[in-house]
Amino acid sequence: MKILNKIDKPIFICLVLLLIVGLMMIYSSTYKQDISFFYKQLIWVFISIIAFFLIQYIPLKMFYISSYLLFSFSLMLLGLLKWFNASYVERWIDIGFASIQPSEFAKLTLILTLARYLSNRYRDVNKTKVLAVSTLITLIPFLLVFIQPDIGTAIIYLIILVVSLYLAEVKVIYIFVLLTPLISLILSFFPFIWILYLFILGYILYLGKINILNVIKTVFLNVLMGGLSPILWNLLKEYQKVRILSYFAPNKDIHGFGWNLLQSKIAIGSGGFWGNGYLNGTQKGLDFIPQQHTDFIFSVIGEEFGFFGFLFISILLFIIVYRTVTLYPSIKSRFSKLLAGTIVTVTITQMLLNISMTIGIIPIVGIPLNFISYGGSSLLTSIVMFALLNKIILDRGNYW
Amino acid sequence: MVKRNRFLNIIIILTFFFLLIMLALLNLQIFKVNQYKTLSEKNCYRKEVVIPVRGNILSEDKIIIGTSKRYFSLYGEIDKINMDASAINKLSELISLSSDSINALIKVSRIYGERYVLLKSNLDISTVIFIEENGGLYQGLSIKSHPMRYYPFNEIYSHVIGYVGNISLSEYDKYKQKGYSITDFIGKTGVEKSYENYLKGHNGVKYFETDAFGKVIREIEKMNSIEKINGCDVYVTLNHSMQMYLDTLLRDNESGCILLIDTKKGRVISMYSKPSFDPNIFIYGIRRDMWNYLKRNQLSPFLNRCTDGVYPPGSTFKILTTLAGLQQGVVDSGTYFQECNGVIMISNRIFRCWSTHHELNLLEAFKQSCDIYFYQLGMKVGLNQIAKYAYLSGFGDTVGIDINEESNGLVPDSKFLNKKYGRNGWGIGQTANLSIGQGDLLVTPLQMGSFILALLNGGEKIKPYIVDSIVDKNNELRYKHKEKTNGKLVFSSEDMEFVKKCMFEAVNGENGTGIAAKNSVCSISGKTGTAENSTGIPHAWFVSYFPSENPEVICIIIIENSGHGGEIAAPIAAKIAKRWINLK
Repeated sequence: MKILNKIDKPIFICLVLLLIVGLMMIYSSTYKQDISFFYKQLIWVFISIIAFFLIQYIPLKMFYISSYLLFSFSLMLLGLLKWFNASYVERWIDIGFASIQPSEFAKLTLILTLARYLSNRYRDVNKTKVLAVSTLITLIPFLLVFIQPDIGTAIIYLIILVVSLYLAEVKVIYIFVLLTPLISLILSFFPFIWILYLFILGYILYLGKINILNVIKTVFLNVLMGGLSPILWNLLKEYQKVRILSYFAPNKDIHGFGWNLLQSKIAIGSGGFWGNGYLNGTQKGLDFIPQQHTDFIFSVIGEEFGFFGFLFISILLFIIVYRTVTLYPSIKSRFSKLLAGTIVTVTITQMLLNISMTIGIIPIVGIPLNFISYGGSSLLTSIVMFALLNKIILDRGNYW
Repeated sequence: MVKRNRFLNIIIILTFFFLLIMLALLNLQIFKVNQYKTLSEKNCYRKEVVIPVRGNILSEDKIIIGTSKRYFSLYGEIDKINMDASAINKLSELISLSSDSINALIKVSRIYGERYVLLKSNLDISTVIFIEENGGLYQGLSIKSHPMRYYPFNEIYSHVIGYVGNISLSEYDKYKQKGYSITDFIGKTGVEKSYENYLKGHNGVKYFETDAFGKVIREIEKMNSIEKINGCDVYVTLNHSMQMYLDTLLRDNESGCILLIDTKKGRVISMYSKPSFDPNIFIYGIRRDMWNYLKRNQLSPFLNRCTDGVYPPGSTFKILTTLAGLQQGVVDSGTYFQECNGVIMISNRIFRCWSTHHELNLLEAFKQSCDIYFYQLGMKVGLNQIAKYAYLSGFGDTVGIDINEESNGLVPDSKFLNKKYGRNGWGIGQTANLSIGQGDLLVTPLQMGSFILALLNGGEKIKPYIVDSIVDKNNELRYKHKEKTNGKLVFSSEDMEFVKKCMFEAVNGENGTGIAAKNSVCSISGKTGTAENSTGIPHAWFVSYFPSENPEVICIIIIENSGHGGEIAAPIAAKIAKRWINLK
């Protein structure tokens, strides 16, 4: 069949298996309360698969050309949230039959934009201007989601920036320098530590054989960011401050995460190696873990399929990664190469962060498990990313 | 040199991350599986909320007027309690509860499989000491203590400070994000409500593993437990000795209110409203009959009359009518109108004055509170113009004091009257009524006080306030009041000076209606009011400030259904002024 020539079989099979796992888990965690979650997700899976195939018929160049436009569009949607929605849940826009979450689409468009921008300037990637522009591009969506506050997605945007720069062959020390003002943004609330940090920073850069003028520039940028942060902070509304603080001071537990985490750990821990069997989980129900079908879906996998479930997903991810790593050097176009590398890294990182969250290795910041968690926007974005990956792998020999 | 593939580098880093997760999962699912299996199967873990101590509320003179007290409750352990008739009898004597009731309580707890039975809450301290010292006599009894709200001065502050009560379902929905539990107490009115965020502190949370009988084996998940944070202390501007004194002043009156505001910054010195209620009754759940009595009481004991009570202002409103007339330019201090014969015809209706004043100028008319003069003055200004000036002076809208119970009052303009009486259902008589503060006009004592406050501050409409500062348990300042204003009065400073002079004359001049407030200790300026109303005898008003030369305190007095302002309310102002001088 002609359509089979359009797909990379190993990646596509893994993708379909992940989707099946996701549907099964969503069914298991919600069927007792509300079966409509499952049906809605099923519709989104169909939409996403159709999107996957449609994308195979669109030249990659089209994505290259429209990337800036798409990015602006997703920023506009993110901005719209600020204007239209009430203060409580700011992450979704209601479009009638479903709600869409612009911050998810912004992930994809940010990756595309950075890939285009950096691949065009591959000779100049280590110049200040290119680094500054890439950072600014990322900061816009970053700040928009940070004040929602959706710290999880904000972190993903930063990861996208760092990974894109790294894959675009930017010197590691420069990436480090770029990230330092962000550290200042937070540290400036603790003046003594902050001043100490500035001195250490200057010293490290000096040792790193960075030209003295640039060291001064960097430290100056840090001071500027640090000085700016109280002003930015005061611009926020009281409820935004409270919610942001709750991420940095988990011991105050405003969201009741402590309880969720305990329930999640009990669910996963009680699963053992083989799990308690499909639909046999006991820790389910919205009273145990309210977000079990979204951010905490891994706790259902852990309880019902045990360590084996984790291994199964790991194998699927391993196949995807292995396939990309081996073919990566043979991708000819710079844009495609950068795009493929970033897509795989960001997807895998996000999945690992989500699992870490559910077992309490990192604080709970609201990152969904790609392909598996309930949520149309997240699913569609992840699949479109993989549709692009699929396309790049098939077209790897072409420069277009 | 061949460059390393950077993508491969990233994958290596991610592999380390992956291995870390794998180790954590191995620990959880392989090594600790039995521990979590038991937790999961028996559901034998428990979340316990640790309630913080609510912050104190202190008066300006550092008297504690809202605090937390340890309450003691007596529990019996079902399996251990001595059920002999003699033992139950002894117990029954001790806690003054019939032995039948005690047996019933124990029986019910048995049926529900509970381990402890609450025998009596709110034990008095002597009983506590007796049981502690004679523990041997009463097997299986234990006393548990917990902090609860306590208001040492009972009904004295119940309106302004408010009270706490059990959290309602709708409040719980709103506050659960902040860690409230369904058993929490929450501020319901007054300062307790509007400063809830500071007073409450933050609930702590602990997790316990329990055995099949619900007994705690050990604390688990310590890293996810939350320390409780005790609430902050709130310092209010109220002066305790003054508030107590006001209570004695109104001892013989059934209902009324007194509001004292400092003239410089708008600090509320006293806010006293009568009748009142004891806020302590809400702590252990109020008895239904008591609640019904309070709720149905015609005199509305829950109403904070100073901020939420609406009254016709009567002649005290002439302060505003005078200013409106001067500002519109329809009168000056020397204007005479048709002389006062005690009656005047306005659109075929007879309007009366309370006396016969003959010919008066503005100052004299104000001083003697001549209604005939003010009818004519008001009609010259016009209904909508008076209403406009009333709005601009803060009537008809909340003042924005820092407690939530506040009324808008009502300023009738032609739009309102058209709606109420129909387009042709009212006439110029409404204007006449409005100019002497009657008709549909309703104001709160707080609006009147804020109006005088603005008058004394060159027109600056300063917002009165009750909470001055908030200090947390580490003695760090968490909140300090900053002066807020609602804009400026539109009147010229000469006109405002003139009205002040009028108010001085009304008390200190010959034939002034407020003469009863005159005293040798402290000179007072003020305006009396006798507000006709639908509930019977007029309300007595006195709106004043003292000392006249260098004002310190604004004093608004309303004694409901008691008669003339000059006879009933004005003497009280004199007593308050004397007390104020004494206090200093």
